[in-house]
Amino acid sequence: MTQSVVVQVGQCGNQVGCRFWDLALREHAHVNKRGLYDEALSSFFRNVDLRKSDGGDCCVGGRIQHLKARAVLIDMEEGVVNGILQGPLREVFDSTQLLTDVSGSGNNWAVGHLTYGSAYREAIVNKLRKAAEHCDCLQCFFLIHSMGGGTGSGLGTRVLSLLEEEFPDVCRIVTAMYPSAEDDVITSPYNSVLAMRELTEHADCVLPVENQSLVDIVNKISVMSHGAKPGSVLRKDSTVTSGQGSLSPTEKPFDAMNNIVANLLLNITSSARFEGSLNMDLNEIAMNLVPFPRLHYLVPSLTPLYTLADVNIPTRRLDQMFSDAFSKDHQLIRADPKRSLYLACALMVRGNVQVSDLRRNIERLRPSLPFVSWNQEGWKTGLCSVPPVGHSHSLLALANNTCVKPTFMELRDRFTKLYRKKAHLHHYLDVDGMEQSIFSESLSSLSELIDEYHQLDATKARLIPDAPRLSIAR
Amino acid sequence: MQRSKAAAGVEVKRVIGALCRLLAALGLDPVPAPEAFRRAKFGGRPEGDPFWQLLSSILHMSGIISSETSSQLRGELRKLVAAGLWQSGYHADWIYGADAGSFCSRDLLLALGWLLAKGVLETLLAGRVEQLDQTLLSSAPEKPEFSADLELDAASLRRLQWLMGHLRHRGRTLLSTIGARTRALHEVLSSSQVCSAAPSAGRSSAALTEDCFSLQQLCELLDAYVSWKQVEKVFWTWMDSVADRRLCDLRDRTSSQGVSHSLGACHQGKQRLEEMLRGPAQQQDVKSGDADWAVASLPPSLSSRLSAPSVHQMCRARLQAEQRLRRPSEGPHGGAAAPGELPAPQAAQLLLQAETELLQRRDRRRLANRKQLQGLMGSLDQQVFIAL
Amino acid sequence: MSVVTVQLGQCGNQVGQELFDVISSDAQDGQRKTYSSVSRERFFRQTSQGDFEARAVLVDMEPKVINHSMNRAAKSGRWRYAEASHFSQKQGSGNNWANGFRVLGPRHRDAVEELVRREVEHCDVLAGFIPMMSVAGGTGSGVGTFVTQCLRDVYPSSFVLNHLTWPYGTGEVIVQNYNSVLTLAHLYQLSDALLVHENDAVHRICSQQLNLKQISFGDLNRVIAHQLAGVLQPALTPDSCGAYSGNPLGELVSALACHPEYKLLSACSIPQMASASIAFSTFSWPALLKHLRQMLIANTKMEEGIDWQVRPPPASAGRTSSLTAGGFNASLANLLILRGKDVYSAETGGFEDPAIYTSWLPPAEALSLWKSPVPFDKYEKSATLVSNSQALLRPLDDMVRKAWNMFASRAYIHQYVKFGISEEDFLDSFTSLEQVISSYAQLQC
Repeated sequence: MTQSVVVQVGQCGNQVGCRFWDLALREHAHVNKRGLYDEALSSFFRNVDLRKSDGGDCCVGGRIQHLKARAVLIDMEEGVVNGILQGPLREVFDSTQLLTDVSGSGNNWAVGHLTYGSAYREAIVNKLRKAAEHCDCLQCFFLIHSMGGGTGSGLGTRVLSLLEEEFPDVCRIVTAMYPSAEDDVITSPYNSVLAMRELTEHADCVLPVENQSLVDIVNKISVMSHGAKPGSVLRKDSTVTSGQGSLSPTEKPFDAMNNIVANLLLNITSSARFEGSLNMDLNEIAMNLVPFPRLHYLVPSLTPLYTLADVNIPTRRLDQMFSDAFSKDHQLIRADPKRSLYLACALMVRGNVQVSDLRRNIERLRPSLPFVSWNQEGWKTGLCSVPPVGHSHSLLALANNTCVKPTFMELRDRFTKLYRKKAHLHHYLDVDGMEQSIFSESLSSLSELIDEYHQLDATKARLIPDAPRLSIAR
Repeated sequence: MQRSKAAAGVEVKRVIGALCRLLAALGLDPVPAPEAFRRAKFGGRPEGDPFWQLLSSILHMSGIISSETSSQLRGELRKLVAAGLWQSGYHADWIYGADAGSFCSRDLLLALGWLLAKGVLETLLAGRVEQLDQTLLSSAPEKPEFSADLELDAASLRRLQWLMGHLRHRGRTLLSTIGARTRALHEVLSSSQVCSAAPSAGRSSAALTEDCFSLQQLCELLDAYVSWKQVEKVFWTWMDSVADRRLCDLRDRTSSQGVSHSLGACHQGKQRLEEMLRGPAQQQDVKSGDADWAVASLPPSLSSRLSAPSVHQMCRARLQAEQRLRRPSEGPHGGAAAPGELPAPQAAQLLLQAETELLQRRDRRRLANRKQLQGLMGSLDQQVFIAL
Repeated sequence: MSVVTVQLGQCGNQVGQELFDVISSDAQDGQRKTYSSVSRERFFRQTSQGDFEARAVLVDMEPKVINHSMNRAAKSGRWRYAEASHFSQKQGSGNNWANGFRVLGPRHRDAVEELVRREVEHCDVLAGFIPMMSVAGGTGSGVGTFVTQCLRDVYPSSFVLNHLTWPYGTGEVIVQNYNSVLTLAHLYQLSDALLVHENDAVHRICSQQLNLKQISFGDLNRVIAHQLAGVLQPALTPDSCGAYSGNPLGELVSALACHPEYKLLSACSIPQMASASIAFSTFSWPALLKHLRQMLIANTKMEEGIDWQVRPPPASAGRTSSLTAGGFNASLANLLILRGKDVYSAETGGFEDPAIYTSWLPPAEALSLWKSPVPFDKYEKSATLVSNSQALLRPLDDMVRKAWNMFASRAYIHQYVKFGISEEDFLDSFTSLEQVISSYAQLQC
């Protein structure tokens, strides 16, 4: 069994990370009834015997002693991390996993990437190595950070390149939180575009998540639960909707949004942790979904976002789950994949769903989904038999779809608006090592990326004939 | 041709050595030494000659002499060999007890050549392989039936490839069967060594050794046959020179002893000549097998090159033409001579002419054959010149 | 004669486990002593405690599936896998053939060869190997191809019959067509024959013939295992003089795959039905064989919905070489295996018709018959047909076409280059499969 390490950077990264660890513990508590430290648990947690002086790890198969998250927490402020350390999750972290400063990055990518990046380089690498040493077979780093803030985008992407340097064979999956258009951080377009170049060059996969989409989804859920059609009852112990009944007694305002992202991470790793009739390992994600190295932005969608009280869900509702995964409302960025071009798509199913259900739905949905000519059957599927807590089944769809293009173009527009006026530029250029060329290079990197998506989009309406086959002389 | 005769001699020795090795590997015993072959070429006393023994065992093993014949003629090696050679279609004066004076071991050598040319080696080989190779399955080999007019079009090629593949798979199946047997044998052997008394272990071990030995023998045999096949052509050229030498001797004797004696010695030949003179219509009445007697008695490899029938026909045609020329002038002369009959002196003259013609033709042919053979050998690795 | 099975990857390990399960339950009946003992000798070895252990080596690059298969086998109570007969790693091949073939295979070569060697040593007589794998993923296809190559090297005279599971046309693995092309092109050189089951066809059997509503991979695997066991269980060949055939793989390969350009075998069985309905059904040989023949020439893998319109083209009319040719499926060679009651009275003349075979192989050489009077797997009478025919031409052509389209835009190539498989290697593989396609297309002209 493989292990993964979560690296959470900045305020946003740590808040999402915190929700992830909460939900992961709940999921394992629900599945693992015997209190034994099993392989599934080992993928994200160490089992530490505190009585031993070195705090050494216990083997898989023994009783759970003391679980420690396989995580590295990095922030250049103390607030969020301290909050975690005072909260119910304090037990799963220890001081060796934390790295904080007091002064923050001032919403400046250059400060995070260059100033702190250089100052803490050794410290960060040491903590990453330490986390890796605790793993028996390290498969993946999950990096969580925002794109708008200074620490998340700047230091987060610095950590990404350090990971590539130090662990070139370990898969790097970045969950990047994109700012809303009316973000309160003025420099967020700069930060995002500068960070985008790093993501395009150094990540294996990027799962973009937009704040606005999360807000919309949470609003819809609350309408569902309060407005309520008759007979539909929102389950209180669902992992998606709430932290109630969990380790956290009170729900903070962003928790619902962060829970969605945390669920994304849980589901993406479920097939690697639990048994299933069609396993999907983490290294299969990039292999199947990334046809060209730079085009590795995978749009996630989660269904069901809310579940009804029935246990035996009739087929129609199962099929509804598949339909929803492709609807605009369930995407974690504001985009409509059906109107754009699919390069590839993965369906990661959990719960009591059989291959025939999967096939029926793929056949049903295929006609309505435009796929690139050379990958008309670009479906990757995984079946994990353990459902998420409180659900009978769930579906995570990851789409490599040109629908990310509008988001990137919007970002570029906002960037150019600022950049044309040279607004706030001096804050960046004052930072040691920062040059204007980095801005222009990042902009052209983004433009090239947009252009690549654009060229693929252009093939959409056209009927592309089969490539002429090799002929055999006889 | 300037290459020394010694070199050729060495080569011939090597070739004869290969033959001897093959004969020994075939289980013939005793086999004359290679030197005996060379001595036999130049003649020698036939009594006590190792060739008697060799010929008799070859005739025996190849099944030409039945067991009844051999039990009847027990102890009379010479009669036995004569009977066997006769049954194999070889005819020579000494077989009938005539010409005892000139009979020497070269005649035995020629008889051996005849048997070899008859393919007796292959017969012996097949028998010996079957005897030695106990691992061969007794199942009959598959004989795929090709249509007579097989052409190498795509379909036939595919069929051929399929059959090849089939054979290959069969071979591998066979190999695994042999592996299984060996393993089983090994197990029997090792378990009997562990748990049973020494004598039985000894027996098993003896069986294994025997098996091993016969496999080794088989390998040697096949090896000997292959090396013989490689040099066989050289042997036949040498054999040719043996036959030549005999003819030379015969001619020497003929000239010294006079024609009448020679004709007398060749009573069978006289009969043949008479038949020849009777003309084509009667010729066809004679048994067709008999007509080609002279040719058939030669080794097949030579007879095919001589294309003897054409010589017959040519001579016959000439004789007939002369007959027809003669008839009108002779007709009114007198009825003493029956139509179609020739006066004796003319006939003798004609016969002599025919003979010289035939001899010339034969020599020319032989020369051509030698040249051809030398060309063939020249294309081999080492060039060999044979003393002529 | 014994057969060593090498189960590779998730699919291979699942199908293999089902295969041993079918065989062990079929050989269980005490009434048929010879049949049972030959079958057991072939697939199992008896431990000193009297338990039956499968002659199998389990290989996967991650542990979950192997653990699952070993547990299921142990639970059957009839047989199990030997404790030390498996090899697994922690991290899978990531659906990447190049990773399996170039990196993971060579890295673990010694360990796997050692397991195989030990299993071979347990055989009194080794007939050959059956590597079982899917062609879609990374471990089955990549490591599987590498292991097959090792078997060829180490046991050059043994027979190697690869059992391949072809993925659904859509939806399992996106790079499945690349992986399949690379696997098939390499195995075509290495293996004696490739016995193929297509997931799509097996899925249709499950839904239409067995009437299953929700179909799991377990259901598919059981159908595959049933057909495979129908081929591999002991049967009498015409020249076996009443003894169950010596080398099952050798006989199979010599019957069907003698030509190096034609190695693709497909199987179909009759009858196939939900086990509940077996008791209420009667079978007659003429009807079974009539259906099976039509299944062969119309290229359907089940009785349900056979197209009875398909007929062999008349010998006089020139045959067309198009891929469709009126839906008629021309055979190169067929192996018909009949099991059950009155098997010697079964009339098999329908399969000796020269019209169903290619012009250059006469029916006498193209058709082989095996028979066994022992009823197989609950069926009073059953027939299995293994066919070297055009049946796989269409799916193979689709597979190559899709992979070639993808290759034309160079999509995903960087993932393979990373592990040392170049564009040249791809081109070589494409070329050799186009050759295979062309050879099979020409069977009908």
